[in-house]
Amino acid sequence: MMTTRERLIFLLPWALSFALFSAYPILFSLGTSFTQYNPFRGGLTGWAGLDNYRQVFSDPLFWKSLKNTVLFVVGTVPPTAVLSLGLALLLDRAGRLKGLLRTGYFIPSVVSLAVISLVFKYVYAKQGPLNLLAGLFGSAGREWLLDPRYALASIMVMDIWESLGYYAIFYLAALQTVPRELYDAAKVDGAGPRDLFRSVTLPWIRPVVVFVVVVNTIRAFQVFVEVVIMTRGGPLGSTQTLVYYMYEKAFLYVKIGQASVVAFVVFVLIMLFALVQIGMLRRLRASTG
Amino acid sequence: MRHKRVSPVAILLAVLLVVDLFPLFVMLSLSVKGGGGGFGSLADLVPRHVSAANYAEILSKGPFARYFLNSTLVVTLVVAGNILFASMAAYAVARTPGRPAAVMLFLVVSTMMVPKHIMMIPLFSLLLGMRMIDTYYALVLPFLVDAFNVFFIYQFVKSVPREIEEAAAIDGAGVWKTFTRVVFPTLKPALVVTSVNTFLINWNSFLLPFVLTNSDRVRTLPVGLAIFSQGEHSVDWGLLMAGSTLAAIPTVVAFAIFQRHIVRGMTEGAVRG
Repeated sequence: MMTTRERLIFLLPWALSFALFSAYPILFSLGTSFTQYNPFRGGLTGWAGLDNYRQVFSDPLFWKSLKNTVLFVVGTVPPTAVLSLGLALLLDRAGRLKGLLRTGYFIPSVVSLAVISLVFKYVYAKQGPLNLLAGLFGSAGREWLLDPRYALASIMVMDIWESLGYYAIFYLAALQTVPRELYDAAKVDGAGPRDLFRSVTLPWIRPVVVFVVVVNTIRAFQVFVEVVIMTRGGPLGSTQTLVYYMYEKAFLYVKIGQASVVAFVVFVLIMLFALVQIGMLRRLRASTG
Repeated sequence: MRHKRVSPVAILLAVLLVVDLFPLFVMLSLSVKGGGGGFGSLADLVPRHVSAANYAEILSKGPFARYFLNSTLVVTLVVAGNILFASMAAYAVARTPGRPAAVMLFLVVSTMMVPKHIMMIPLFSLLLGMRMIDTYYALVLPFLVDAFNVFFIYQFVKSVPREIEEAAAIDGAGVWKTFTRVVFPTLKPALVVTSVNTFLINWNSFLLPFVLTNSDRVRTLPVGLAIFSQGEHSVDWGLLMAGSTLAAIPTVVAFAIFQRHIVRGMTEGAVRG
């Protein structure tokens, strides 16, 4: 048996890491949002009350960032959830080649998002491969990332592409746990393929649907890497997202108080959305039995 | 096996896979094309002859080789730290009875849910105060004990029978010796999963390394490539894609080798949800 002292020594590295790198940052963000703070000049120089909040909430760019972020979440999370389920259903029926195909579709997810963003910056370029392909269909080609109408959508398409194979893995693992007897019993009752999916498969894998949607929502709200590498928020603020806005406030303008407001707003938004989604999908389960 | 022949579904998926991997094919193709220019037409996408010129150049000139070494060093330390510290914590929690264990477990699980973006500013400010910005410390210390790894290994330790530990204790082994000689070896399957996942996450990591560094001396690959792409001169895409390919190869190879472990780490973590 371990003594209390031994236990504490074993826990020490994790406890230090938890205190310094998890607990402290959250408290810091909340606290700093009410202060005037500059780590380069004088540190904490006074309380700001709600000034930081007032300034952020009266900045049109903040609202634009919020709008773009919500667009990004709504435009990537549901399509990814549906498409990756479709991919998993197909993979589940692929027979002998299942393992090989699964590996292939997963590859984009093991490559750094930074690298993916660089590659797509080229794919989307004026003289890039996408426009060469579009030329086959008689299209003159577009400036995908330099046109405010297409920039955010282009990043969204890339995001869906990048995460498709990743989330399909979760569905695939769940599909393999559906008991065959359930299908057999439903078939005896005369259920067709569509009925089987609706009344057997979907209810069985619903926890995984919740997982995929919640995890992807948390990730999508923080969209940053793509923006910083591909567009820097442009053109005309059309790809300005909340975390990128926060980054600029903190590291370009050194408005740490205001940046902390944004950090906290994103944190609260993520928690709210995650809770609502879990609740909604739970209720769905209760109503469909 | 019911399917003797390749099924139509498999053929469909194979065709779609070619489309799916097209962007990565573009990366590879451009990197071996040689010369800085892009593609003039679709036919150019398939390289007529393969040149290693971009690879030779990026590895010998500029800071790319340094980025590669930095990434290797940082990730090695972070993986080693997680193997040791996360299993120590997991072991202590698993061998603590009652309420304290439940509290610790709750803290571990809630840390897993904390979005990374909220750490950017506080971590920068903290490490600035410790004079660690733009050092290896900044890239290693915050990532040494990942809460997910503690949780993952904890689930595994729970299933390890205590009898062997008790036998070791009767033979006079202290806690540390019992842990390193008896418990640690039994954790091997969980530690393989932990190592591979920690490697993938940290090799690819961009957000925090991007704000915690500001010189080529310590920059890691993803950050270095991103900075390179935004240099003052027009971007040499062939060079950049050669660098991108070199950055991608280790993770793709690791995935090919440890596929089953990676999938296990992902899906077993998901079961808790």
